[in-house]
Amino acid sequence: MARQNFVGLVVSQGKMKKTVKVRVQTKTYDKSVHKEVVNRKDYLVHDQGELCKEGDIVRIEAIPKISARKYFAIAEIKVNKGQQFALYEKLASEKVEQEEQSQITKFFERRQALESTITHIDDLRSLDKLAITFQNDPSADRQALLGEINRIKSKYDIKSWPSTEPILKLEIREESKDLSVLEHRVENIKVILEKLFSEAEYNGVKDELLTKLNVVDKPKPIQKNIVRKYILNPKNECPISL
Amino acid sequence: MLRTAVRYFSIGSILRSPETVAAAAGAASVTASSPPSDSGAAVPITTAAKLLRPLDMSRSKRRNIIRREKRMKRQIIRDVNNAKKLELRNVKFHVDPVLGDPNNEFIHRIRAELNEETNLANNYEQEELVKLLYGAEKAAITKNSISQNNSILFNSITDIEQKKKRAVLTILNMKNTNSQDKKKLAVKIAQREFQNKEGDTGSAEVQAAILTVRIHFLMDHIKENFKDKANIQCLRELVQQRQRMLKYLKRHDAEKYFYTIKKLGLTDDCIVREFNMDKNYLQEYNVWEDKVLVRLSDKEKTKARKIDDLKKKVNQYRELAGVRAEELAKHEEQKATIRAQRVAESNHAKTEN
Repeated sequence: MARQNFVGLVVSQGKMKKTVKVRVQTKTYDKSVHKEVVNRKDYLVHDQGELCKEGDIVRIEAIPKISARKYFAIAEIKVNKGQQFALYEKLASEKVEQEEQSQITKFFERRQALESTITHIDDLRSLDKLAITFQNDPSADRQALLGEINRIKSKYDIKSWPSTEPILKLEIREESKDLSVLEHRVENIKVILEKLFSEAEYNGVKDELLTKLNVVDKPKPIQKNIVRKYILNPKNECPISL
Repeated sequence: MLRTAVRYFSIGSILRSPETVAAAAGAASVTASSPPSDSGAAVPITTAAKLLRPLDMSRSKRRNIIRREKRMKRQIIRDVNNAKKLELRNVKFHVDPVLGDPNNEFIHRIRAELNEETNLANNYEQEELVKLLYGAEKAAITKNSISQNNSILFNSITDIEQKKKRAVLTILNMKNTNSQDKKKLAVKIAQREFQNKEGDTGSAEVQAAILTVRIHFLMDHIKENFKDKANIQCLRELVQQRQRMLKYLKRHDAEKYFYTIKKLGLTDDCIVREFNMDKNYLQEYNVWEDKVLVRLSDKEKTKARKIDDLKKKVNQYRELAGVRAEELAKHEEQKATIRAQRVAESNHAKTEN
């Protein structure tokens, strides 16, 4: 006679040596309610290699009785979910450690960036002051002042002082620039897309863009939509110059 | 007598060798092996039942001793098993199921960020602000451009602008803002750390991280205001919500789940097991420093005392087992020397005869 065979879920592991608890579900027909009901039974199962983890789905096989409650052994592990969990847990602790290091370096970088902008502004302020004294104070050492002014100018690549060009990058200014770009593109989006998808001279550009966006084997309307979204982002470059 | 002696020696040898002890423990029939903490000694706890047997002892006395030993051994095994059963009934969480690991880096970092001077209140960026204030200074100077060549006026204007700048930075310092604003900043940092892409505020790990930050902030409040029942209930709900969110994450992306819980300082059992932030929890984890919240009835008190006594008893057995093992070894040595002496004496007598 063939050996008794079940498939079940490992519900408890690590409490007894070389033994796991496996929950087996069987369906039996209940006469009183005239339908199949699920029966559960927990078996203590011999696990020689101690391979199983909680959550694994395993096939168990009957063996000669080896202790009071143990007469099954693990035949194979069908779904090793529990083992995967254990692996993930191990990987997670390594990843978290690495991440902590990177977060600390990021924090110091941010602090340094702020310090550098503050020194930048302080230099600019001292430049203002030097310029004023250079103009007004005849008794000051003109050579030294001029040298200092030129040093600061060369440090930040400033051509003339006081200058008419913007010297500091402001987030608001960048956004307004983006907005103007965006407005321009929204106006001309139909023309851009038409040119890109119908005219033969832009075929090379189009293919490059599609491979970059990873939509080569998609239908044309979807391609068009994704390319539209790409172009309407002012951070991306427009493939066609208008 | 010979038979009993042989049996004694054989039992002793079996129990003493560590491999056989381990095998016996695995077979689940003998549960009375020593705990893993002092497994290096490998003295079985039943050694506590062993009694010393002098060499010249009458047969009836020996039988008595064996009987006493057996009785004692049975008692020890029963006590150890009962203690184990009670231990399994209330297994503790690996870490605090609300606040998580107290040495968690993530929470420490967020708390440090709130005291960091580079962060400003009301969602202002310090870098931008400093640049804008410099622009304001320049504007004030060019406004009075008629007298730009006047260095005294220039100095006074720059002084005023510097004072303004200092005032703005003081107002926007994190020390001078309210706790709500601090919480907002903490939530923002948590969201940025866990986001999958720019602007991701909804994925399960981000939500869990934000909930964790909120739980920590609310716990700070509750520690100071023990009468705020409404907020205690709110905290309870937050903990449940986080548990639900992480359960979902475990089902759908196990790798991310383990990463998230590790980073938030939680463990798997805090999520999988049933937990309700009740009075027992608040008392056990000393939320309000030794405030008594749960009063035991007389019946419960006696029960708890019995459990304590049982634990003490098992510990005593363990200590006694170690002492007995040494005593027995010494005794055996003495016996062996006496036997050797006797043999030598008898030989001597034979040769004299």
